[in-house]
Amino acid sequence: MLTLYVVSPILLAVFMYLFTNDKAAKIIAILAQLALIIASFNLFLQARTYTVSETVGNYYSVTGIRLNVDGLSSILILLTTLIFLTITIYNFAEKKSKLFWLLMFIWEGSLIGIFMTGDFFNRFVLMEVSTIISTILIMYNRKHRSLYDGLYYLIINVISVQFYLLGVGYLYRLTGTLDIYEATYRIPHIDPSLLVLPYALIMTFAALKCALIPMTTWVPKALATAGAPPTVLAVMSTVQMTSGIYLFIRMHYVFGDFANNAIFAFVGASTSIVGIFMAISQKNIRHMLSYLAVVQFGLIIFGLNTGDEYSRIGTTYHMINNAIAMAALFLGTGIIIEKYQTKDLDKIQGVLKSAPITSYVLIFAFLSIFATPFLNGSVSKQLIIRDMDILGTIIMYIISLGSMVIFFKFSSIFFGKSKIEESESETLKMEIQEFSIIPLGLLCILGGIFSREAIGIFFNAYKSINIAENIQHGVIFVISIVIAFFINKLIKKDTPILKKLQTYDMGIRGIILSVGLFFAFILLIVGF
Amino acid sequence: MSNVELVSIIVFFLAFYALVTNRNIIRTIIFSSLMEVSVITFWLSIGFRERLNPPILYTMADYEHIYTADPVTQALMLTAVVIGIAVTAIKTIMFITLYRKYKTTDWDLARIRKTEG
Repeated sequence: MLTLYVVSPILLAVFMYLFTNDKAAKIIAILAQLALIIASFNLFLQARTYTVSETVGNYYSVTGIRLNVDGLSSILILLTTLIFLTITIYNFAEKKSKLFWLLMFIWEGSLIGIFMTGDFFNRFVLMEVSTIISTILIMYNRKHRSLYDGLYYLIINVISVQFYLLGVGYLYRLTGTLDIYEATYRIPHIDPSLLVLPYALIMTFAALKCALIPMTTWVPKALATAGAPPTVLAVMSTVQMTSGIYLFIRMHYVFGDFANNAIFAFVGASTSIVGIFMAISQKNIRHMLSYLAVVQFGLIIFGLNTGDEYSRIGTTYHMINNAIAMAALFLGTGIIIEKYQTKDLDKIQGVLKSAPITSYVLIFAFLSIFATPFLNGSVSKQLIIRDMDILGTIIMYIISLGSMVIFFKFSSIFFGKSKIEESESETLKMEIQEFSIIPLGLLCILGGIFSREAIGIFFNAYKSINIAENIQHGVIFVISIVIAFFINKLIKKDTPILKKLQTYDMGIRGIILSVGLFFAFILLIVGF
Repeated sequence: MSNVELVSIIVFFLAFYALVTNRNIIRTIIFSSLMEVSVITFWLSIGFRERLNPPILYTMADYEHIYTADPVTQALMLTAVVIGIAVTAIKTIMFITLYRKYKTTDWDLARIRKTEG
C-alpha cells in the first residue's frame, strides 16, 4: 500500500497532462489532493503506534527496497500533501501549461518517496529526480528566467550529491547493506576510524541541502531567481529544503554515537546569525525571504544538535511551523509582487489597504517566525529552549531578535499610500489566491492556542508550557521587540557595509571550494 | 583497499580540484561528469575481488560452486549511469541557451552580464 503514496501523485500528473479540459482537471486535482491528505492522515494515525513498513516487490526484507513510515516521516508526508493542496488551490484561476502540472505532481511523488524510503541508493535517485524537476520549475517563466541561476543551482547540487554517493558506496563496503535500518545495527560493530570518511562525505551533502554556512549562497539563487512562480518557491522553501533536514536527521541516527553534534550546533547557530545580516541588507523581497529561510534552517539544525528530548520535540514542531509560515510568506508576497509588478521593498507601499487579507496572513506568518506569545512559533521555541544551557538560550533569543529586525524592515511595505489601480479582470484570481493562503495563517494561530493538543497528537507526548515560562518569555519578547524597533531605526539605508552584503555573490567556484572546505573541516574534526 | 578503489578516489578529488580552478562552463560540465565516472568506478570495484566470475548464472547448479562478483553494485551503477546521462543532457541544454543569451562560456562574465541585464 505504501507504494501507492508515491505512485498516485505521479499518476495524477500524467492524468493532468493528458486531460484536455483545464478547469475540470484542476477540480479533479484538488479532490485527489484532498483524498491524499486523508490517506496520509490515516497513515499518520497508524504510524503513531508502530512503524509501518513494506518491501517493494515482496523481497526478503533487506534484499529489496524497504519503505518505512514512522512518526517523523508521517508528519512530513502530511505536511507535503497539505502544501501541495494549498498551491493547487492557489493556482486554480491561473493559466499554467500542462507541463507545469506534470512536473509539479511528479515532484510531489518524489518528495513523498524521499520521506518514505529506507534505502540509501533509492534516496539518491529520488533526490536527483527532485533536483532536476525543481531546476526546470524555477526557470518556468520564459520571459524572465535566469539560466545562470538555474545552472548554478543544478551544478552545485549534482556535484555535492556525488559526495553522498561516494559515502554510501564506502558504507556499503563496510556494512554490506543499503538498508538504512539494517546499517544502523551494523555500524556500532565497525572500527570507528573507518567511519570517518563516509561520515564526512555524507554530512557534506546533508549540510549543503540544509544550506549551512559556508554553502548558503545557493539558496537565493533558487528562492529569489527571477522567473520562478511563487508556488514553486513555496514548495522549494518548505518541503524541498525540509527533505534536506530529514536526510540530516536520518544520517545522524544511522551513525549513532559516532555522529558529532557539537560541530553542527556551532555551524547551525553561525548560519542563522550570518543569515540575519544578509537578510537585513537586502532590498529585494524575495532575497530577504530566502535569507529568512536560511535563518530558520540554521535554527532548526542548532536545535536538533543541542539539548535533550524537549529540544528534539520542539525542533520537529518548529519544522512544521516554519514550513507553514514560509509557504504563507512566499505565496503572499507572490500576490503582492504580481499586484505591484516590482520586487523592490522601497517601491511597494500601502499593502495593508490594497490587499488586507494577504497582509494579515503575512503578519501572522512573521509573528509566528519570531515567536510571538500565543502563536505556534513561540511554543516550539520555548520547548527548544527548555533544556538548553544559558549560552544556547541567549543564541536563541538573539536569533529571535534578528528575525524581528527583519520583520520591521519588511513591514515598511504595509504602510504608506498605495499607488496602484485595481483592474477588474484580475480580482477573481487574487481572491482565490488570498483564499488559499488563509488556512496557513489560521494554522499559525491554532497551532499556538491548541499547542498542547497538537504536540499530543504529533509526538504522543503531553508537554505544555507552564505559566512562569510564559511570563518570562513574554517579558523577554516585549523587551526584544523594543530593541529591534530601535535597531531598525538605527540602520541607515546606504551604508557601504550593507551595500557590500547586498551585492555579495560567491560565484560557482567559490561555492564548490566551500563544499570542499566544509568536507575537510568535518574530516579534520571527526578524524582527530 | 584495492588499487582501483584508491585510483577512483584520487580521480574524484582531482576532478574536484579541476572544478574549483576552472572558469569555463563547458569544463565544469565535463569535470562534474568525470566525478560521476570516478564514483561509478569506485562502486564497481567494491563488488569485485580477484578470481571472481561475472555474476551470470546459467543453471541453478552454478549457484553452488561458482563464486561471482557482487551483482548489486553493478545493477545500481546502471541506474547511476542513466541518471548521469540525463543530468549531463540538461546541463548541456541549459548551457547552450545561456550561451545564446550572454555570448560567453565564462562563469564570471555570465554573472556580470546577468546583473547588467
